[in-house]
Amino acid sequence: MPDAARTLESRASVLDLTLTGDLAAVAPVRDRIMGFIEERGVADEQAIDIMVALQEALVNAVLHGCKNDPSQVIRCSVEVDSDAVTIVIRDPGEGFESAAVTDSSDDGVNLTNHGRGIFLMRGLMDEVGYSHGGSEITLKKQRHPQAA
Amino acid sequence: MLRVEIRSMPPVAKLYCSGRIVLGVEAETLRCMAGSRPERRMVVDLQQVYAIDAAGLGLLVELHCRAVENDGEFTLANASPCVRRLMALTNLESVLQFDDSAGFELACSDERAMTA
Repeated sequence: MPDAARTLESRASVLDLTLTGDLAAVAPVRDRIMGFIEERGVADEQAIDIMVALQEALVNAVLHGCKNDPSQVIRCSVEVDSDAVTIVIRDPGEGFESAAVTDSSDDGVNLTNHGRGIFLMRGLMDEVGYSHGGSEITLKKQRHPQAA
Repeated sequence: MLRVEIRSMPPVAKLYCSGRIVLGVEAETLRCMAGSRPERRMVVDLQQVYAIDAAGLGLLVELHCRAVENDGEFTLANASPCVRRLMALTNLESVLQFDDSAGFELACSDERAMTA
């Protein structure tokens, strides 16, 4: 179990964790959450999408919500049921206006080396929602996506 | 974890990546190894890359822009469908150059051109 995380499994399909606002804490917690999800039979293709989106959400929480301050705490809750995987991440920051975030320049291409995280999360997950002024993000992935 | 193996046949360097290109040590490893190459043409082979995040995509854009600024070439080869999908989601397929056959045949064609 990662040092930076305190884990409490309250039910078989729910995992609650905390991590410090430190980039070094992201990978162990991401891997712990992905292990929990994969143990519950989520398909590999969906698991990769979830892993990338989870990585972006955790990094945003550390860098923007905690200003990379290890004294700050991020709370994560993961729920896996027969229909969906739902991840809620809450950071102690002031939040942001998610609607104001754009990922591309006027010609549709972002040529900087940052600013793609929210775009990726929106593309990979079925639902991405913000609450508490943007300091809490909810990621949801359906386990049985409907055919297009 | 990311492992990078470099094969050089000037003016081409081919970097074979294996693992994931994500924020942190992995992205910094690729940035340092790519940045240290003197060759004008660089091919990054992504066949063994199973995951990439926004920081990894940003790094590829950074390397592309650096090559353009220095009148060089930067090409991606053998990206998995998963990685290609992430590039499509971020509109990078229209910017980055893909060529699954890219590599030392470029240098060979140069040699042929020079000896012709």
